[in-house]
This record gives sequence, C-alpha cells and structure tokens, in this order.
Amino acid sequence: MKGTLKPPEAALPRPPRAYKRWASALLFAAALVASGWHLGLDFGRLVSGSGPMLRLFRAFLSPNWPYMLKVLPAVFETIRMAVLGTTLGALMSVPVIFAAARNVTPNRFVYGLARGVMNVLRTIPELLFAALFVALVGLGPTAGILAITVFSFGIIAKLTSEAVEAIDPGPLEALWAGGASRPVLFGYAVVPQVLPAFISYTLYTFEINVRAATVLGLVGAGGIGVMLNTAMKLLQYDKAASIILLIFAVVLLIEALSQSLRRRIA
Amino acid sequence: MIEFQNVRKVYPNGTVGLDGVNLTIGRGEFVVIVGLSGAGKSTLLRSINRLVDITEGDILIDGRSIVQAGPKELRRMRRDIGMVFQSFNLVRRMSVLRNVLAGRVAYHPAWRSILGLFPEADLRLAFDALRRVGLEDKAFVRADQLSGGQQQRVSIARALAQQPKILLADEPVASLDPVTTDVIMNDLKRINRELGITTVVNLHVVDLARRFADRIIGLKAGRIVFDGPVEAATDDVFAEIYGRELASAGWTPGGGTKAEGTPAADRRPEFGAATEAPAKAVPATDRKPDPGPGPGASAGGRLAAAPPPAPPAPGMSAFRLPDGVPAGDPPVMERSGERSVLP
Ligand SMILES: Nc1ncnc2c1ncn2[C@@H]1O[C@H](COP(=O)(O)OP(=O)(O)OP(=O)(O)O)[C@@H](O)[C@H]1O
Ligand SMILES: [Mg+2]
Repeated sequence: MKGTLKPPEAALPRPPRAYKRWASALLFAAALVASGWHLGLDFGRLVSGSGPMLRLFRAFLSPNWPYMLKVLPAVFETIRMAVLGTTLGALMSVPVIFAAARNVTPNRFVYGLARGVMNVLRTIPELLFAALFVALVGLGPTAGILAITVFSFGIIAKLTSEAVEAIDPGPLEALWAGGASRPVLFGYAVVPQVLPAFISYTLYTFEINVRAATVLGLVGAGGIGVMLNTAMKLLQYDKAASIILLIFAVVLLIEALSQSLRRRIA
Repeated sequence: MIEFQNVRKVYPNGTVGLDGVNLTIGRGEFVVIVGLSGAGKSTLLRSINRLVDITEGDILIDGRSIVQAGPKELRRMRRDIGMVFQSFNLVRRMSVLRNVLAGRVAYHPAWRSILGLFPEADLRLAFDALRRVGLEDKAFVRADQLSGGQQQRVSIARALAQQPKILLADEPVASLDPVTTDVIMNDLKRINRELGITTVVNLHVVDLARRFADRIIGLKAGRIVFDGPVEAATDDVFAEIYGRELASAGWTPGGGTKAEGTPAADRRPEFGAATEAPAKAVPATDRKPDPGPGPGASAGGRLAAAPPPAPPAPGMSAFRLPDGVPAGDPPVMERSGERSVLP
C-alpha cells in the first residue's frame, strides 16, 4: 500500500486535435468574407475616392495657418466641454462608486441598482447620448457637456467601484478593533485607499472625452466638430485639414499632460 | 482584568472555535497563547474585543460585559483595547504619523478625525508612541516605505496611541525574520513592563513563547489544555499542546536536536527554531528581576537611547514640543501611573 504509485489505467488526456483548430480558422475567415460581401465592402472605392483624398492630403502639407487661429476658440470650447463634462460626471459618480462596491455597500438592493445603472449607461456610446441631448436641450455645447457627463459618470463609477472592491480590508479592521465608527472607517481608511484611483480614472476619462468631444459636433452638440462637419460638407479641404491637424496636436498634448499626471499619482 | 466565563464559540459552519473556556487575566500580565493552527488562538483573542461574537458565556473587561455592550458602549470599550495584527494593517499610502493617529479616532467626532484635525495633545501622544518603538524619525515617511518590522512597530505605536489598558497581538511576528522578531517581542515586553498594559499575544513558536511569556495558555481544539507560569510549561506540556504525533514524528520540544536535518524540521522553521530553546530557556526563566529586555541587543540599545530628548524630525517644527516635554523619564513615571504615561 505504502509508497506504491500505480500508473493510471485510463488513457491519458490528449490535446485537442489540430483539425479542430483549422476548422475554426476556416469558419472565421468565411464569416469575415460573408459579412464584408453582405455590407458591400468595396476597396475599389478607396481608389475612386482618391481624388478628394489626395487634395485633403496635400492640404495637410500646407495647412491654412490663419484659419487655424480662427478656429482656436472652438478648440478651447471643445476642451471646456470635456473638462466640464468630466468634472460633473466624476462628482455624480461619487455616491455610486461606493454603492456599487460590494465590500462597502449597505445592502444588496442598492448594490444591484447601482451596478445595473452603470452597466446600462456603459453600453450607450457617447455620440448617441449627444444626439439624445440635442433633441432634449437643442443644438450647442450644452448637449455635448451633458452627453460627456453621463458617459464619464458611467466609466468613472465602474472603474473606481472596482478599485473600492480591491482595497485592503486590514486597516478597516484595525480601526474597527480600536473603536472607530463606520464614518471614520470610511473617511480614514477607505477614501485614502481609493482616492488615487479615482483621480487617475478621472484623468483617463478626460483623455477619452477630449477625443470624443471633437466629434460630438457631428450631431450638433458643440465644439470643433461642428466646424469640421461644415468644412467637409462644403469640400473645403484646406480648412478640414487644418482642423484635423489642430485636433491631433491638442489631443496629443492633453494625453501627454494627463498621462504624466497619472504616473505621478500611481 | 479580562474574564472568560464558560465561553463557547461555534462558527456558522458548525466549527467549534472555543469550548468551555474559563480564564482570568489580571492587570499587567504578559500572557502568551500557544496552540496548533486551528486551535482557536485567534478566536480567543478576537473575542476579547468582540471582533468575534461568542455563542455562549460571557466576557468581562474590568467587570463589564463586552458581549452585552450596545454599539456605543462597545466602541468605548474597544478604545481601551489596542490590537496588533500579523499583517500590520496600516493604510500603506498614508504617513506613519497619520497611521499612528488612527489610534486616536475613537476619542473624537468622526469629522474631526477624517479631516485630520487632531488636537496637539494627540500629536504628542503619537510622537511619544513612536518614540517608544524607536521610530520618531519616520513620522512623515509613507508607511509603505518602511520594512515589515518597522511597519509592525508603527502598528504597535498606533495601538499605544489609544492609551489602552489591554494590548492584543495576533501572531505579531509570524511574517518577520528572527532578528526583527526579537525586536518586536522586546518592544511588546518592554511596553508591558513600562506602561503596565495587560498584554495577550498569540504565538505559534514554542521558543518565543518560552522566552517572552510570563504565563502560557495552551489551546487545543478550542479548549484550554494548559494554563500556568512559563516555568511550569515543560517539554511534556508543549508535547501535549502540540499533540503527541509531532513528538513521535521526530520533533521533541525543547531538546529538539533529534529533529536535526530531518525534512520535517526543514519544512517547519518554527519547530526548527526550538532547537535553540535549551540555551535560551534558562535566561528566560530567571529573567524576572532583570529590567532589561534580555538577549536582544538592539532593543537594549534603544532602551538606553530613550532618556535623551527626541531629535526633532525635519519639518515637524510646526508642532514641535517645548523643550523637555516629550523626553521625560519614562520608567519612573510609568510605575506610578496607573494606565499610561502618555500625556
Ligand atoms: N470565520 C470562520 N468561519 C468558520 N470557521 C472558522 C472561522 N474562523 C475560524 N474558523 C475555524 O475555527 C477554528 C479556530 O480558528 P482560529 O483562527 O481561532 O485558529 P488559530 O489557532 O488562530 O489558528 P492559526 O494558528 O492558523 O491562526 C479553526 O478550525 C478554523 O477553521
Ligand atoms: Mg490565528
């Protein structure tokens, strides 16, 4: 009995056969081709559309500098929209962050509700919110700001509530053992542990929002996108190119700034 | 004084944590609880401050039942009981000072603590507590920049800042190396002597229990199987606490040379450490009249360094204590003081 290890009688498990993998790859390729055909994907159009594209490309090389100066206020409006929307969204997310974290929430119903709201919000794209708010409050940056607010609220609440669920419970236990009340646990041990994550996720959301804010104008929700839309429709390629270059520069700059900030917080 | 009266604890899943525990721990005692993993050491310790709710019986702290205390009274009673954990349980991102001040939160309204508006007296307490564990120069360092041993000393300082009557330590050295272990155990022992704080420590290392305990309580399957002064805790007693199986597996408590080189000893450093016991057990037993912390040289050095005034840490001038205030002469004041010398 002791020390005798018998070889198992049953056959050893085998890795999945190679043909299964080949079949999956083929199936995937077929699905890809079929959906392209179904949607009428036509690479030939890239060639036939090369005239306007070339013009746009040439415009990139010699941007319209005076026009760039003229659209600068619209760029600032876009950034302001992102700042306002992100800030409002972050503020709104605060109670939900804790309601949606299982380890600190008072009851399961509150938790389920918070989770549900967050998950529904996150399935809706920003542009759709923008269109919705344009219908509600009319054309202009207000609609854009509201769209960004709701969108930011969803992301920040989701990400940060996960950070809350990952906090170290040790300090809470120590404070609790020493006679602290619940508000103290919260303010003295929970908040300090999640504050950096909250700030970092808010900055990250701000980066996304600057990018998103540039296209909200396509549905009339304010910002530089409105001008880009107009320029493209009027076939003013030099202006469109200038706007795109400007957006590119601004987005890069803001991402660099925000990322260096985030690195310092981490 | 801590009194267990017929205490029984059954966990929701049916596990019996404590069974028929009757126990009285007097003021100022230094008690070490030993037992195998799962014997109920943590359950016993954590029922003292009601981190664990017992199923039957009663636990009295200075004559008052903590079991029957309402929420508010419970928090009041817990204020007088400091606790030290195996995993330190500091807020790692906060400064050492703020972590120590966490020991003061139960004395103030929540909003004051959260905003960090502690009175100056609390800062003095915090610095005094840090000085007692030799870390006053680390007050403004972030807790996660300290070594494990230093973090544990911060957590001891946090418990001290509560001005507790009782100090509970649940395996405070289980994740530390042998040298650091001695420093921490010496700190606990010295604090027990200097401030007269009743101290209950869970340990699973026989050697440490022998060297530091005044009184040893052996637990086995939730029952007290030994309770007596350290001198009475013979090898046979430990063999009983830890089960005869261990002894027959090649481990003999105290005279552990038999276990030398066996794989079992290699895998269990805590029992391997017992091989040193004979040499150290002797000074441990006749240590009582000796006010020094025993063989731990480093702690002896710190103790000697206590009288000169604490060097002010850079940047602490904002609330530097008037000259002479923090230094004092701890040992003299402590003996007179009932609870604590901390101002
Ligand atoms: N929350 C819990 N739920 C169910 N059973 C538990 C719980 N906590 C502890 N136990 C059980 O109660 C018994 C005593 O546990 P306890 O933690 O007090 O032991 P211990 O002596 O501290 O052990 P260790 O040295 O491993 O820390 C064990 O059998 C353990 O499995
Ligand atoms: Mg334990």
